[in-house]
Amino acid sequence: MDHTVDTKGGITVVRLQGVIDVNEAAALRTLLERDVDSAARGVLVDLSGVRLIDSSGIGVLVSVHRRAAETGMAFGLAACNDSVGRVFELTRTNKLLRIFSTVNVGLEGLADSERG
Amino acid sequence: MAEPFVDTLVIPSRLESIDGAREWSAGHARSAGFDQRAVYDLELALTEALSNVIRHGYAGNERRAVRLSLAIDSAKLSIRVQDSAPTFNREGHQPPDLDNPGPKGYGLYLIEELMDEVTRDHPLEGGTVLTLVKYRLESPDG
Repeated sequence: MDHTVDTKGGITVVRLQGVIDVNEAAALRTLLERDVDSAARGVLVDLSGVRLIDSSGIGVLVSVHRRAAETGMAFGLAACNDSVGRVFELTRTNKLLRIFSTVNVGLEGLADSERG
Repeated sequence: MAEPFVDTLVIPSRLESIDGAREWSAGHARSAGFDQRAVYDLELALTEALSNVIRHGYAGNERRAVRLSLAIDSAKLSIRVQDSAPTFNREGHQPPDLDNPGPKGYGLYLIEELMDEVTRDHPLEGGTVLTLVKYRLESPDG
């Protein structure tokens, strides 16, 4: 799993690439927790480059979502492909996590929730 | 009917081995004409199965092995995942609470949702054989 980090309007955009599975879960947790703890306004995870996600990856995203909620930080996911989206649907975590269709929609969504 | 295609792969019980096993199974499935969705389902189910064996069955002991046996015929693809770990009690495992999504407990649930058939056998020599089956949407024989 590769990643790049960018900042847009105070929101940290983490772009993940490759496979998020049990072998990558610990590194992903460290990465996202650090970003949630240090972001100015929020964290948006760009999943457009993620080919496959397993239950360990889902678990990390749910945990980081909770951590962000506890600290009042906006947190969302964006641009997942259909296969990855189906895993969120099967686990019903799509009802818990904030999943946006594109990165730009996600940036607007996180900014709006912060204002709201 | 043609003889089924068969192949085997033995991997060490390390999480780093999962990637190669996934590529091995996906490559065979694609070559046999399974569509992208079926290949994804297989890759994810196998990932969850191997993760369970390596983390829980073998409890992180990297000197054990997992034997994978793949068979593809005109109707279906099946993968047997054989370990020699202590037997897992499926009936004692609680399904995830889908009304209150949490961070854990989706592995077995995903395997059973993604595959068409999932069976567990316990050979006399010990361990478990988990068999994952995916049927073709349409048989190439019509």
